[in-house]
Amino acid sequence: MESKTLPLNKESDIVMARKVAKDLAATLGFQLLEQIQLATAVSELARNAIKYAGGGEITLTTVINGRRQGIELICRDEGPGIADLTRALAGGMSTGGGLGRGLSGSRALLDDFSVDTTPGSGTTITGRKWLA
Amino acid sequence: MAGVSASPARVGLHREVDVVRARRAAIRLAGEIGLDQRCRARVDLVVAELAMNVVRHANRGEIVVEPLLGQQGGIRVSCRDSGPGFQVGSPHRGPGSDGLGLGLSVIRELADSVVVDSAPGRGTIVVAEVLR
Repeated sequence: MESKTLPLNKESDIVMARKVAKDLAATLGFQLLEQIQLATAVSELARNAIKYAGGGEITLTTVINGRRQGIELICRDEGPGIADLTRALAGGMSTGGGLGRGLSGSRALLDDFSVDTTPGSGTTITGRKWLA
Repeated sequence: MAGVSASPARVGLHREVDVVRARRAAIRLAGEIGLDQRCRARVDLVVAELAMNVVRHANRGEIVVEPLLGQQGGIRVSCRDSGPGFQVGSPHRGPGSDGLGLGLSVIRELADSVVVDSAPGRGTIVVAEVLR
């Protein structure tokens, strides 16, 4: 099992997180499209943490569920939290933002997705992408 | 004959919400000409990457999504901006280090062909094709 935790404080950290996610997905055997989908979701969540929460960290781990293999991301910040989670998760791309100022863009690129947030106490976003 | 009747979509790019509009138009067009789910996903990510680059680094631009005529079919995405431009071929790190160089490598992986015309101070044009 492989796990990497990366800081998210500056623009170059987004680039690094994206690269690590893509390389990890490639190592596990994801196809190129799925590698890029995961990397894009990681990139957008990392950007959100920096832009809206003052920074945070992301952990990428290879995971196994029965006979399925995949990658799990956990993106944590100690920012203001998401006040209106329903709106942030609102379907399709209807909330503003290219890929996910709302979180729906990132969610659409992943298989599993959950958000744990408390206004004033930060946010933890967990996502998984499984090998087909 | 679906490809003949589908018309191009042209979207001005200035704010993140324009990225959403561009992605929506591209996915709709891809669906109209009958591209499969993986092709539509590739078109979506190409448009998102190009449009987001314009909004983040060039301030203003335009993206056109049109069906490819001919036997195979597919989508052509043409993205033009009047931003700072860059030296094509150099290992580029743009205004943020998540610059056009890195985004372009992703587009080259997703699309079947990519043509780039840019120079410092002269803006950028990228034409990418995703074949059926």
